[in-house]
Amino acid sequence: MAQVLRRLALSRRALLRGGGALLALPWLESMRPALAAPARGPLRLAVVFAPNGQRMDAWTPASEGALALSPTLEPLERHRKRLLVLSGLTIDGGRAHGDGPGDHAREGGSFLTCAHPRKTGGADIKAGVSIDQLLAQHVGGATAFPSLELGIEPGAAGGVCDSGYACAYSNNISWRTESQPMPKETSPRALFARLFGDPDEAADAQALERARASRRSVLDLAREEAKRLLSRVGPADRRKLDEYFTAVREVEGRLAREQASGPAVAPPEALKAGVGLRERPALFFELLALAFATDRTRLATFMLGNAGSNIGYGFLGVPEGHHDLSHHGNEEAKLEKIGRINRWHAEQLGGFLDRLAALQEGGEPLLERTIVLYASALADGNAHAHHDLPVLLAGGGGGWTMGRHLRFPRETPMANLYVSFLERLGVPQRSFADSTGTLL
Amino acid sequence: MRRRLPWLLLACALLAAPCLGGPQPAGGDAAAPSFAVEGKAFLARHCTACHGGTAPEAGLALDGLALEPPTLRSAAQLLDLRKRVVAREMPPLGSPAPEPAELAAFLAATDAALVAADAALAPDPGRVTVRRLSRFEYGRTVKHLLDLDYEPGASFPADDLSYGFDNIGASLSMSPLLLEKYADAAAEIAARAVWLEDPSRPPVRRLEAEGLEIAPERAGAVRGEGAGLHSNGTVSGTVRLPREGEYLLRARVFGQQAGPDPARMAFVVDGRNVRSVDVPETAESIAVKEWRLVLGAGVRSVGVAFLNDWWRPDEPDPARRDRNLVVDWLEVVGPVDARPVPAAHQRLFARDPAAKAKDPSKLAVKARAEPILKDLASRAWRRPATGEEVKRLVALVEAEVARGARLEEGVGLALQAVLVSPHFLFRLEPGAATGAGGTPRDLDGHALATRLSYFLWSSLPDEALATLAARGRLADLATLQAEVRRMLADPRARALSENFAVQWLELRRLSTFVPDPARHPGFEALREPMRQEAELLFEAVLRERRDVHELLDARFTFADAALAAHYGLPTPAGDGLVRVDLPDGQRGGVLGLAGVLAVTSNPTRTSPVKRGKWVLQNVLDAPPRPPPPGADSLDEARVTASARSLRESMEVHRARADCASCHVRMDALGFALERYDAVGRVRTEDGGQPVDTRGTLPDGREVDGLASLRGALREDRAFLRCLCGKLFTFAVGRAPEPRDALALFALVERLPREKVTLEDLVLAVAGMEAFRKRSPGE
Repeated sequence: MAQVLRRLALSRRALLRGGGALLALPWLESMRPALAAPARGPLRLAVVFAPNGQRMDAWTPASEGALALSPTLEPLERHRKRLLVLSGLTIDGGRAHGDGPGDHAREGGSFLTCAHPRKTGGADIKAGVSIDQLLAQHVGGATAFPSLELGIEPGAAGGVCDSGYACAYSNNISWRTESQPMPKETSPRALFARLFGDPDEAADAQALERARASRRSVLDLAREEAKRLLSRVGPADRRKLDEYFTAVREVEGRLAREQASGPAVAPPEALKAGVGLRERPALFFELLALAFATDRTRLATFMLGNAGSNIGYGFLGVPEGHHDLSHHGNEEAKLEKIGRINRWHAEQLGGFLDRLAALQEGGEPLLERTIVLYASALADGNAHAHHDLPVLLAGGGGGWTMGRHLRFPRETPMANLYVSFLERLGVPQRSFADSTGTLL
Repeated sequence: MRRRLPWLLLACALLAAPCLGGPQPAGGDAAAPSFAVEGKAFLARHCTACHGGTAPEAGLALDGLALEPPTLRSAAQLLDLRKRVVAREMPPLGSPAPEPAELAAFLAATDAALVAADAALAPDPGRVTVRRLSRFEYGRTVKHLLDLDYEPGASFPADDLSYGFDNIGASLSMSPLLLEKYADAAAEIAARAVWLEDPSRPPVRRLEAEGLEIAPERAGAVRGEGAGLHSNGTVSGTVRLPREGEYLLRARVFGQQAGPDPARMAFVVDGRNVRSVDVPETAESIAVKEWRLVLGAGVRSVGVAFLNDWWRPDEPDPARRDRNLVVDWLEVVGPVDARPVPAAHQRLFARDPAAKAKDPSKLAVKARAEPILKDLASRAWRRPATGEEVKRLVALVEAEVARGARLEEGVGLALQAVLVSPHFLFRLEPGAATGAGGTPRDLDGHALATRLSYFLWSSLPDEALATLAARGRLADLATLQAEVRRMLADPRARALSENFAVQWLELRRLSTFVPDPARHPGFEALREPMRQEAELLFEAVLRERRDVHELLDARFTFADAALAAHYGLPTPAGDGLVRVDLPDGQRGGVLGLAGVLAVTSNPTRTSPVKRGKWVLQNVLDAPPRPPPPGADSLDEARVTASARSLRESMEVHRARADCASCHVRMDALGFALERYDAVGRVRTEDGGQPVDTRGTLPDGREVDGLASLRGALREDRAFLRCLCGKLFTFAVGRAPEPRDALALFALVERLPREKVTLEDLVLAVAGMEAFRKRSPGE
């Protein structure tokens, strides 16, 4: 549907260049009254998940206070004043609590939910509502897409994912409800089409209007059918049909909101060429920056790999699987390779921050209106530690004093950080999962 | 009655005839081993010292375990106990191992008791959470609904797996993202299924001059209703063409004539001049020029170029000084070549009364749409659509026609609604939720037919099956079984290989497995053949009614040139994968499949642990318990350095009792496959060391290589149980619960002792209570 709608927009507005600085910012363009005091753009939150933990000795800055970047984070030096490294945070829900192994499933399932995922092969998956989805419930309605879920790796294609845990926990970090993960988009092309329209097609306003009308009537009928069914089924089935019902309503809502057209965006060159693992993160980051800049969404999560990812990074000279390698047994050669992966991921993040810094909105860089959370839900992958996690904030969106390294008392819940997000994004809720207060 | 001993091949020969007859009531025959005697004696000797008394280990007390009369709890406990004893997990290492004869007697007693327990305990078919169509099922369903190939592929988000399969109701979730993809897919399918072309009235795409682009910019300008080119240049616009075919390019043009020649223009497509023509006409005699040509589908740029600019400012007659070309509009008409109406359209409109009507234009929209949509919705939703439902769909068509659309377009819209409906996307089982009381209810006939067709075909029921369902005939077991046989013989049963077998063998992972390209160049070309090889092997065992165990030790496989080279076999004749003989036993069966050997490897090396785990999980019905906390994976750097150190580092597994209980078996199974490298190629050395394929099973028996392993894999009917369990999970859409596990155990015990075919297993699973019935209430 998105492509239908975007093509419509294409016909009305000049094509903007996605790759350069020529991008106009629709939010201000349409919302700012003439001659009024310059309004600031809305806040955005991007969560970037790095799998399998980090090489902690290369992650943690040597001292607290003013930030001196560690080897892993060194590629971010140019953004140092916009970074905040947080040490000492814990996601207790990720720990075994008697459930035995499966730390990678719990790594994914607990990251943004801070819940203790239920150990199940699939019959009754349960984690918790993730922070991005809670925020989406409150602020997502303002944009065409309440939230975006992106990832490099498709869902595991075979087998059971981790020690008796259903794959849903490893493959998703966003959870709309405690039992419903939000699957992620793993194709940059499909993502572009969804956000901005089919990159290969020109517009035909009439045909698009017709397609929109058709879509509306089809969804209308679907919603009615679901409603009828809901009253006739048992609780387990009702949950599934309720997911369906909610999805229909959300897509209908988007269809209605789309009537206000946004700007069109030219597809980045890389999208046409098709890309390998090496180029994929940068391409996703580029599309995410464009989605923020054009106000298609204000909330996004992005998985640089599934929890427990076993991708090999041959182009870094690390052909071994990432997960296998993360069980390094403190062997230097393996640690060095883990460090290489971690650093490369940080470089990709750097590219994202560059983009957000270059895109201007109301006379300030978009980065100033964005909170970027970059973190792993394990500390050392070898030990499967769920405490003292590697957590980095970037951007000026939180209004916090950046350029620092803060250490919190042991066992400070990660959920406290999420409460800070709730505050900053204006959600009237002062607790989240196992939070004990607000962090920043 | 003597029963065969696990791990001892010779026991097969000792098998006594009475086993063939089916379940034997425990204790009914004085000669038969009874759990109360042999079973209890075994427990007392080997188990209850730890698992008994006031503080039993692991909270498991076995001294009170009794099966006369059986309870579900005691049977489940015994089933678990049996697994651990057979796996030699228990009694633990260091305790005296049971003597073979003693073990045999215990198992005979146990098996009889379990079969008796299954017969005695009330069946409990359980409940299945409503299942959304998986990606694979969606494609198949559309194909059979509309005679249309639609491959959702990567455009739908991946379905999360549970218990190794992607069709588990509880895990198949729905999100706005997915719903949007379903709506997009429905629109695309409708566009392809509904044929709107009418060669007598081809669509006309007109581009008025006002909307055209002039290049170069200074070559002209749009004035009034025309685009004037005053020097050589092009006016052009873009159109989107639905298909490759013949089109008419038309342009309404005239020249402002000057100089010796008339104005000259060319039709331009995608920047290329395709036809030049003179334009002697003037503003008083505007002409339409046209040219017929073949154009490809998609977005095309079309235009008119002015070719012969002429400008003489000193010409005495001011009207003769300047030659220009003026374009009023451009049109692309077509496609104008007639194409046969696609099968999907014919199928969709098969019930259209217009085909037989004397004057179709007299028919009301409702009269035509109703039979079409009743047929469509009933097939798509896998049960008769109600009058109300059809009425709502017809209303959609009527509204669309009222807006000026053709009936066909309206039906296309209703088709979209049918495909996005929850009745299509979910396999609803109507009526099942309305039962009361304690007894299991037969599934509604259509629901059972749907379970059957998605089990065997990954698609919807065909007409024959739907008819039986409508008549309520499937409740009869013999009819059901005859139907299973018919369906297995149908080409659609290929889905069992492509969907079930590929998932069972974990081969979907092949698409994402990336071995180190430096070590394994050329892997890309093998991905597809590796998967196809597995499908064809399963297919051959199914279709040729071979013994299921040939899945473990077939003397043939399928290979194309690339795969044959990979295996060191002579290049087979013919295209694609063809059947090849495997005389030497180095390959053959699922454990010799390069695909299986690859997905159980790491990118840089083999993993005996992963391979061993794969065998336990997918062949032996004994998935290992997860490793204890703190267990680390191997030291990669040391392992890659030398093959010998791989073995040495794995000795660690034996040092810790909690590791050893599983690893002793897992590692030995994995070592036996060490002759195959990380992409399944035969090797003689690894890292400079000769490969060592020896291993010791928990009972002390030595295995060495794949051939010797095969014997062990056939024992104790473990493979049959494993495969039945997998089929059950796939067919019913949930993991076996304790009651199901007991039923599955008894089911395998009842199978013939000699040859068992895949058809036998499928029939057995389709006959299970859990497949045919549903427990009432929730």
